[in-house]
Amino acid sequence: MIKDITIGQYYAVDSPIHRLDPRVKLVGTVLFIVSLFVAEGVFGYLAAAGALAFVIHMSRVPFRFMTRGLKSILIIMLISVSFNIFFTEGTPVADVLILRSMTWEGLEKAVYMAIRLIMLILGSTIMTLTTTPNALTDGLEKGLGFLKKLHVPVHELAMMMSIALRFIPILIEETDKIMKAQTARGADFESGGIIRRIKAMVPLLIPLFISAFRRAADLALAMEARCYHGDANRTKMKPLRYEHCDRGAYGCMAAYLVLILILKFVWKGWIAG
Amino acid sequence: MKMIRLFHLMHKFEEYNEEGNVSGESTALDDVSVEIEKGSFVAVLGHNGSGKSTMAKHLNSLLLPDGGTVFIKEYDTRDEAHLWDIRQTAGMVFQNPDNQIIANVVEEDVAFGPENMGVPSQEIWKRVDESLKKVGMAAYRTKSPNQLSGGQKQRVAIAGVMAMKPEIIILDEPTAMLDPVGRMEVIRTIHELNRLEGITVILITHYMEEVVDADRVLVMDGGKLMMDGTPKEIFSRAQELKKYRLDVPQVTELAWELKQEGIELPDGILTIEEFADALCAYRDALK
Amino acid sequence: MAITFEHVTYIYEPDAPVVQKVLDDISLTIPGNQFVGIIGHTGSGKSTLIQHMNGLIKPTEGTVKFHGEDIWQKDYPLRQLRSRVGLVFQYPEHQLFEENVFKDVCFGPKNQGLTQEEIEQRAKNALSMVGLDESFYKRSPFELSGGQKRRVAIAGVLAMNPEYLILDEPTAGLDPVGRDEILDQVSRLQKESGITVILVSHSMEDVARYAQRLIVVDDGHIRFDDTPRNVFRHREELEKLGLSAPQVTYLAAALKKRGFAMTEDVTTIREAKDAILQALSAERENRSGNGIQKKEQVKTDD
Repeated sequence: MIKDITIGQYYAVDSPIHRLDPRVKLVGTVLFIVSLFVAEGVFGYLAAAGALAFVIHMSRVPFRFMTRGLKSILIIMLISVSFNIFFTEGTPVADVLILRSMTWEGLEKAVYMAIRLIMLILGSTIMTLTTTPNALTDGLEKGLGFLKKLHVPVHELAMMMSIALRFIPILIEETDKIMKAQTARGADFESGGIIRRIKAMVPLLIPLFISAFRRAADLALAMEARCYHGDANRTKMKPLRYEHCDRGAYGCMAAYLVLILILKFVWKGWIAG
Repeated sequence: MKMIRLFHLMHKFEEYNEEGNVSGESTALDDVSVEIEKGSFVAVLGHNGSGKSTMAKHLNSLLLPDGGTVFIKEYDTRDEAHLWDIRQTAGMVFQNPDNQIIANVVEEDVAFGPENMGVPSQEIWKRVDESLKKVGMAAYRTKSPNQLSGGQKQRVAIAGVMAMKPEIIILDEPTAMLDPVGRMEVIRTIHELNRLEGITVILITHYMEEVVDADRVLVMDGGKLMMDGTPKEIFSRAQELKKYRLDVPQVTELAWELKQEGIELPDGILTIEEFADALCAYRDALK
Repeated sequence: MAITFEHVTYIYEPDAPVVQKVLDDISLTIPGNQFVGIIGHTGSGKSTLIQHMNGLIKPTEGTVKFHGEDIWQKDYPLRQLRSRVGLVFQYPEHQLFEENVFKDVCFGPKNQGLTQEEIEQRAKNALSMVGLDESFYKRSPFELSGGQKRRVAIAGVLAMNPEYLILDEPTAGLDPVGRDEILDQVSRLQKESGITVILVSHSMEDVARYAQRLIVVDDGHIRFDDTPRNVFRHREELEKLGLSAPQVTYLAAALKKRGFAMTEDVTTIREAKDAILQALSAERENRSGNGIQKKEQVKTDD
């Protein structure tokens, strides 16, 4: 089950997108999501889709790898689409049966909504597929560095994120082992009603929590022994520095945003006129 | 030169009752005094709960004395001004390989120590390269720690300490969670570091095979230092070791058993070769 | 009365591009009342092997039978099987969870649906079998020493009254005395109660001392399955698998090479002692015998 989630999975291949500074990709993803909500009209969406297709092509990640992530949101998409179809005021599609409660306006909205959602998921999947979790954490730490002035513990949060990434697979494996150990003692995690199932989790959760706390204590000691004392006077093995291609990417983003805005006003004018 | 000096070191743990109030004290270290020479390989033996791990934590300022003094080189471990000097001089490797690797990529984990010390990036790269080579893990530098075996993870942890350019490495039961192959890898690595780099090694363990090649063995029990000598001297007192819940290599025990049967073999036989030589000498003396 | 494997193959991810056989066509019978040692290095497949024995893992191909019945046939009572084939994993921390030792040991029998009275009786018996008296009953399992935790974990499985007891490296991380205590206790249990013990271990010395039968697993195959004595005759093959024989076995070989008239079939300290004493007395007789002969020769020369 856990294997099916593509968000947060890294696809190891060398491409111009992979090589970009993580900050660029973070900003780019946010910009792209914003643009999806700003864009209006067929041309606006075409421009967004074109930009997305270009980035996907550059990233050299097989397209089917990205669509896997879409499966997980299929249900959410179906619900929001049907809400739009059936609950938008307007002209009914036809005067027969179920079509009576569907409206043309609703259909139009639903189509835009679906396209928007799909592009949103693809856009963020691209970022996680082309950026290692570490680079992402580094990017967040450095990119949000200005928040330190507001006393937001950016470094600490980034460190916590990176440690969480390191320990998630270990704890998943441990969960599996504990489950087996308790199953061998006759525990049953699979049958019974919801209350019974929740109760059955106790023999699993207690050893898991105790182990997690123990690991945390051990790790704190190990970090202290290796001179860790927050980010005061800390250097980096791989400091983030903008290269030419990163600046170029920012330029492309700006151009893209201007294009979306222009298309929006043109479309509005066209509708009004 | 003395790298480590312990003078009458005391350590107490507070015991708590069910309401969480202090109900008493237990002594984890009781008047331990010892000096350790630069470049030596010292093994510390003791059963679980003998105080050996507590002592290790004092050598890195992770714990501070309740009585007595600990000096790492010229630094008193209680002197906060030298806290980072002490931790950089005396690096530490722990038991559980998973719980001491911080980063998600091998080379970035090795860099963690130097990063904390504020070493410039260029220099960090150099140190990471060197340290990984020294422990034989250069081929794994871009791997995730989760893809490594226990022995390999411990070698990464050792590289992480080496990258801080320490003069002492303290290993707190580094092999307790490893299989025999992993154990051999780790022990071989630390012997190499001791021999080639002149690093002072403090190896805490309860595996007797691992202390045979040490320069000096300390035996702890009940928070006290009970025995101190070369492996030969220590293992010739097999009965005393048993009293401290420790055992001796099979050949040492066998030699002792034969002695009880009136076969005069020398004390403290540690290896198969020594045993065979001694028994041949005994046979020749029969003539 | 047996656990039987018939051509069992286990593939970790059958859909993966490279098929990795963790177990490869294993056939094996473990009858009742044996002390079996299983040895193999990390990744050899030994953990997967033992998890097939109580139905925690389903074979990809082949059948696992318990007392002649396929445990993966429809409606086979798997939970009941797990109480008859008890499995104690390496780390007791993975199973201890109750507020006190007694309650924790009760968890297994409670899952079997016994009456409260029976449950408590079972728990008491199991705790006494591993040598923990009443003073431990109300203690938290998390405050115990490593060796005591292992005992509670073993008791937790024994309380289900299993016919087979599988122990996965029960001595890892224990000090020498703790190790001997646990293994002595288990060995006594096997002799007294007739339970079959399957001990997974890294220590050749331990299996040599306790097991009647030794199974060596490597790369998903069973390489050796014989008495420890016969297995340790294959020292060189064992070394190729990253394993070794006990130190005394090497010693016996070294002594034989140096001309002592002794067998190499030595696996424990006691056997080595007896063999050496025998060799020495043979040596003495030989010497004195030679001496007499020489004297006789002198006489005839006269």
